[in-house]
Amino acid sequence: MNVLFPPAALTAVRQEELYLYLQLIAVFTLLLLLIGRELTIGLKFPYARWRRVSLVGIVPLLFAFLLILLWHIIRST
Amino acid sequence: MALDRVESWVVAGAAGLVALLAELLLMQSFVLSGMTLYSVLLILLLLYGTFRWPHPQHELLVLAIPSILRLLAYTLPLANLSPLFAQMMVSVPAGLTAVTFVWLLEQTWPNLRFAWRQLPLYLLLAAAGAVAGWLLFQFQQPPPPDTGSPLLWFFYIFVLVVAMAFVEEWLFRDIMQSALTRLWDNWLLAGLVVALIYTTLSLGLGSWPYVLLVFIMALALSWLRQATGNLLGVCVAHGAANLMFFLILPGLGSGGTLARLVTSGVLG
Repeated sequence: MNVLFPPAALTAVRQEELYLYLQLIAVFTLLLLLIGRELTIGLKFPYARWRRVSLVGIVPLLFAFLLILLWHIIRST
Repeated sequence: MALDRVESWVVAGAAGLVALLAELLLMQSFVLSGMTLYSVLLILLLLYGTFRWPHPQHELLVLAIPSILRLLAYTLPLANLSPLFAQMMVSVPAGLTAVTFVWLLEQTWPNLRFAWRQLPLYLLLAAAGAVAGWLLFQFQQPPPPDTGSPLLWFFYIFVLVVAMAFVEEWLFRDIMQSALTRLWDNWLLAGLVVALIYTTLSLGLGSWPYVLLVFIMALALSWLRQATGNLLGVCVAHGAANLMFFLILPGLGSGGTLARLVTSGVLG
């Protein structure tokens, strides 16, 4: 029983640049929403709560994103 | 109150259906579409949790766990690694996810207390897990791992029991099941939903009998978590099933029959 990493993901991640791009979008969408108070003045968006809640998405994705960057740096040197 | 309950069922049902659709897309190799759907689901659930806080409905945030797991599995650069090493790499950010959920939802840390008087129970659970692993192996045979060095055995045991079984049980049977039980005040419904989500994530892993068996085992683990009140029992059962399914039976060769097990001295 294993749901953390399906074997299909091993072949799917060959297009690494594509997924790096996708993850960039995911991470920066979250980051933008996290710090975007000035961009959405007047929407009554609960920023204080969002900052806490969005961490469950940001922490693992950002960690993975840094891991991907590290991987690319190691590969290119 | 009744309206809140209906709202939570609608949100849980919708999130489950989107996850199912995303998983089916991934199974059909529409990776970008599946990942986009999971990303949208993650952001919508985060927004829902934000707006519903501190109402009990915010517990539905745990439904974002499958999205996070899939985003991690399909974006980490693991193509050149062995499947088990890739599992270990994914389990680190997955563990971080669990820590963040515990902090955010103010849950307790997983209860792994061990008492010697409960040893027979854990041995029984390990045996039941091993039988479950053998049953799963009848429908799906993973490739045999490279077990050339004794050190590799320790590494595989660590990955299968800690990185896979413990992290999965912590996320699903501890964090997700506890949150949904608190929300609905009904562990049976919570366990059923957790088992359905767990099975959805297993759809691409094997044939339909295999997936059905995973569903039954997920239900059994949910019950076990509720009955024992701690996570050690489910981790022991899940870890034993993983060892049997990924390491012992593939290591014995394609046969993997009970007779071979006994003659190899694993059971007797």
